[in-house]
Order: sequence, then structure tokens, then C-alpha cells
Amino acid sequence: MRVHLESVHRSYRVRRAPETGGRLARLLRRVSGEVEALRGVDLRVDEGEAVGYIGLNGAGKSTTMKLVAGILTPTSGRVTVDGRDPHKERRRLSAELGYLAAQRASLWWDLPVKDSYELLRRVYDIEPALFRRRHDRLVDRLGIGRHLGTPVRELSLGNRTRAELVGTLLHAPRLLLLDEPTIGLDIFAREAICDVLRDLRQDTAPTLLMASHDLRDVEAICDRIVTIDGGRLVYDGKIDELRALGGGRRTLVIHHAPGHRLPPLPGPARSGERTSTVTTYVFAQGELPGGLLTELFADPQVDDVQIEAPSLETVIKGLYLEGA
Amino acid sequence: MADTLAALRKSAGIALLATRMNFRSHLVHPGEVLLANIGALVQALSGAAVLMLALSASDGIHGWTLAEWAALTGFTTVARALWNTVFFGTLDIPDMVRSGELDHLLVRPANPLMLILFSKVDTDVWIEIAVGTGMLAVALHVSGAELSGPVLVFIPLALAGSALVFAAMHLAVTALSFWLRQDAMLSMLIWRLDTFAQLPMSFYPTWLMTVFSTVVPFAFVGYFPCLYILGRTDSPFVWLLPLAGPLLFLPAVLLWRSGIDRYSSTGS
Repeated sequence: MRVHLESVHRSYRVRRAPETGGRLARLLRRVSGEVEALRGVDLRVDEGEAVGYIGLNGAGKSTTMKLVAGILTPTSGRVTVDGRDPHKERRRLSAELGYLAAQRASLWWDLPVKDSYELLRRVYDIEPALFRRRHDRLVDRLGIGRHLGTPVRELSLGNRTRAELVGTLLHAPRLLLLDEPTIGLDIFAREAICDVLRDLRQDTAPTLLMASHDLRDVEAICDRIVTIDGGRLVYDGKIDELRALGGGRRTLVIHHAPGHRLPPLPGPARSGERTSTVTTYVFAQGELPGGLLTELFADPQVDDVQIEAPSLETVIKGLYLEGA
Repeated sequence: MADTLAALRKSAGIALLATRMNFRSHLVHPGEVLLANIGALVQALSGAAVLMLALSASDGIHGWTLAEWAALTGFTTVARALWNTVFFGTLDIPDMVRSGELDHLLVRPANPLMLILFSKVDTDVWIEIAVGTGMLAVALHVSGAELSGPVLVFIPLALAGSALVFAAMHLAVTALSFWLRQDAMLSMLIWRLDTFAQLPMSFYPTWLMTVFSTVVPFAFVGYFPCLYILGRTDSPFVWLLPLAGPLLFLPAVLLWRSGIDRYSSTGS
């Protein structure tokens, strides 16, 4: 499914206690105001594309997800899914939509997990044999077989998120909106979820929009990153291109014996962080003298030498700082 | 037309399955359910004891004997328990609106109100149905009311209608949370007011009787149907009373729909 946002603005009306006035007035009176969550967002996601949607808290990620799901309407601008208004055609769209907001339970809180899945089978009209096949495969891949008889409210966060993901994928949605699917999860739960989503992209290639704080997940699953800050998109492009925004800067990290003096680096390299056992030099990609590495590896006082590219976190932090 | 019928059939299937599963979920923690039911029993018995004491001091209050009052209480208790069986989830609407929990119901290809209605069953409906039915049966016997064929047909119809009146009132009040987002306690207020329905309307001053017969139609929940069941009226219009439920439920649903159209979720 294709997702398209054109010049989308979205504001929320908020009411709060006044900051001035007497105690009684502050208790009883409320002043209204508007908070602008999105300020002219243009975004196009093509059929089968997987987009990581990155942003700080309150940047507008969840609002975008809800607009695409048809839960919200834009204050101005236009949102379409396959050319249709998702709010007006929410019921029709929902049959092909998988929406997972990890902070909220969508399965029936008091029911055992398997009963929730049976209800979802009815809600989505899934043919029993097909349901059984998908169910068994997903339950096995996400390792929640032991918890199928447990009420949802009694599951740990990790198991609940796994169970929620199974529920989100049972009807094989063509558009998948995942809002922080791995937040607060341990490494095993995160890996299980990322593995399933990677496989899903290869098998059925749904259009995927994944909001996340965690760049490791985005790198593992998506091939495009959109970064939002203060309701405006600040980057939209391939992950590799984003990395290149780091300026091709590289860091040479040398682990050595305590107090060991290293040969001076020629050329434009400059000294970076330094401790008694680690010395770093920063240089532009391709400008490291060829013979230097051979010299360092031959030095008996040098234990290890690494060349590091800037992490995506560093690059994105740079984008936010530029915006600020 | 065929699509509408198919949608109705699908909704009915989901509703039945959800109700069955909700009752079955009570068996996951039988101790919790037992305690909730004991609590409800103690509450019912203590309430009954207070009024029995009050009524035993005289031949009756406002023309109602102890047995007649007990029949009214039994009737409204069963009607309320029926409401709790199907419509209990509506009490969560204000919280769902305020916290944004409603979102996940809006992205399902099913009627969101139906998904809320059948989302849970109160744990103490078991004792409420048992106590209410027992109280109604004994009280009718003691009061000497004539249990003719028409009365026996009328009772279940009136109970279903009364459950829908409860449902309409609670849905209308909880739907207001789409406009009054801060007032999640509205549902608890109307929940507490439910006890007004268990007393004969003749107990109340005229202005309150008028309120309970119009704006907050508690009189339709138990008082009016019990006038017929106890043989206090033989007006043929009483057969219209079971229709009060559907007639009041319809505007409540329209209010809900209007509210959901203006639902703005939360930013997170």
C-alpha cells in the first residue's frame, strides 16, 4: 500500500490550570492552548518499502502513525493510503492494516492470549486453516507457545509485545505501522521481533513504517530513514546516505601498553581522546597513510588497532543539533 | 442489504464468542471471582437488612410492603446484572478516551462499540443474578402477587428492556467524555446513582420523580415494570415498557457516534 502525506499539519487542543491567580482560581479555572505536533510534513512511502521513522519524544512520530491509520485527521494538509482518505475509510483500511503501539495493549486484557487470537480470527474473517498455519508459525518464531493460556495482563512486557506482534500479523496486513515495537525489551525479545520483521519483508513485503528511538532496530529492518524533529522532517533518505552525512570522518583507535609513546601521525590527522592505554586519531576517510597500519601492527607494545566510522546515533545527533 | 446482514451475523458471532470467553476467563482466577461475589453478597445483604429494619417498624412505607420492595430490588438487581454481563465495558470509555486506549479498537474491521460492549463481564454478576432472582421469586410469593401467564411472559421482556435502559444511561454518560475529557468520574457517578432505581418512585419528592421518569429514567428500570408484576396496575400500556430500553439506547448510540467522530486521541 502507498502512503502519502502532503503538507500535513496537526495541532492538539490542550487545557491546563492557569499559572497565575489565586489558589481557588488555579484549582477551578482552565486555560486552553494549542500544541502543534506536525508542522507541514511531506512524506511518501511506496508499496513494499520499509521506513524507519526516527525522532525524540514528542517529535510527532505517533501522531503521524495515527494519521496514517485513520485514527486522527490532519488540521490541514492531506493524508492518503492508496489514494484514499484513511479516516473516512477507516473500517475498510483496517482489514489490511496492522497497527502496533507497544505502549498500549490491543489484545483483550483479561483473556488468555489464545482466546484473543481466536477473537481476532473472527474480527478479521480469517479462514481457520490459514489462521492455524500463520498462528503456529508466528507463535513458534516469537517463542510464546508457553504463554498462550496466560491472560494478557499477566505477561511480562517482553512476552506481551511478542504476543501483540503475533496478533498484529495474523491477518497478514499489507500496511504495517509499528510505534516503538521494541521499547523497553531485552535483547532476546528485540532480536526475535527484528528477525520476524526481516523475514516478513522477504515473504510478503508489506509497506512498513516503524517509529523508533532505537537505530539498531531500524538498521536491521529498514532501508530508508526519515527523521522528524519538532514536527518537521529533518532527513529523508537511505541509511547509507545518512551515514555519509557524517562527512566520511574516521577514528583510528589504538590499544597499547600503559604509557607507550606512539609514532607521530603524518598528514592532517588530529589527536582525539586519549587515556594511558588508548590513543585515538581522527582523520578524513582515505587519508590514512598506508604504511602506518603495518608499523602499528608490528609494534609489540600495541595490542589492537581499530578504524571506526561514526555511528548513526552520532550523525542523527548532529542533525538535531543543526536544527536547534 | 446482504452486506448488512453479513456484518450483523459477524458481529453477533464475535459478541457471543467474547461473552463466552469472558465468562471462561473467570475460571482462570476462581479465588478472585469468589471474593468479588462474596463482597457483592455482603453488600446486597447489608443493604437489605437496613431497609428491612426500616420497613419492619411499620406496615410499609408510602404504600409499599417489605415484600413488594424486595420484589423491586430483586428485579432491578437482575436487570443490572444483565447489563453488567454485556455492557460492563462501557464504564471504561472515559478512561479509554482520555488515555488514547480507544485507538486500537478503531483500527479493527469491526464496530468499536461492539468490541467495547463485549470486552469484559463483571466478576460478581454470578451472585447478583442468583441473589436477585431468588429475592424476586420469594418476594413475589410472599407478596401474594398473581403470577399469571402474561406476567410470566412480561418479566423476561421487562428485564431485557430494563438492562437496555441501564445500558443507555451509562453509554450516554460515558460518551460525554468525548467532550469532557477530564471528567472520567462521570461513569462512577451514574454507577453510584443506580441504587436510586431500587426504591419505589413514590419514596421521592415529585420533582425527583419527574427527573427519574424523564432525564435520568431510573423509573423505567424497575418501578414501572414492577407496578404490573405486583398487580398494582393493569394498564395495557405497560407492554410498551420493554420498548423503553431500545428507544433510549438508540440516542445513546447516536451520542457515542457523534463523540467518536470528534475523538482526537492523544499525541503519544
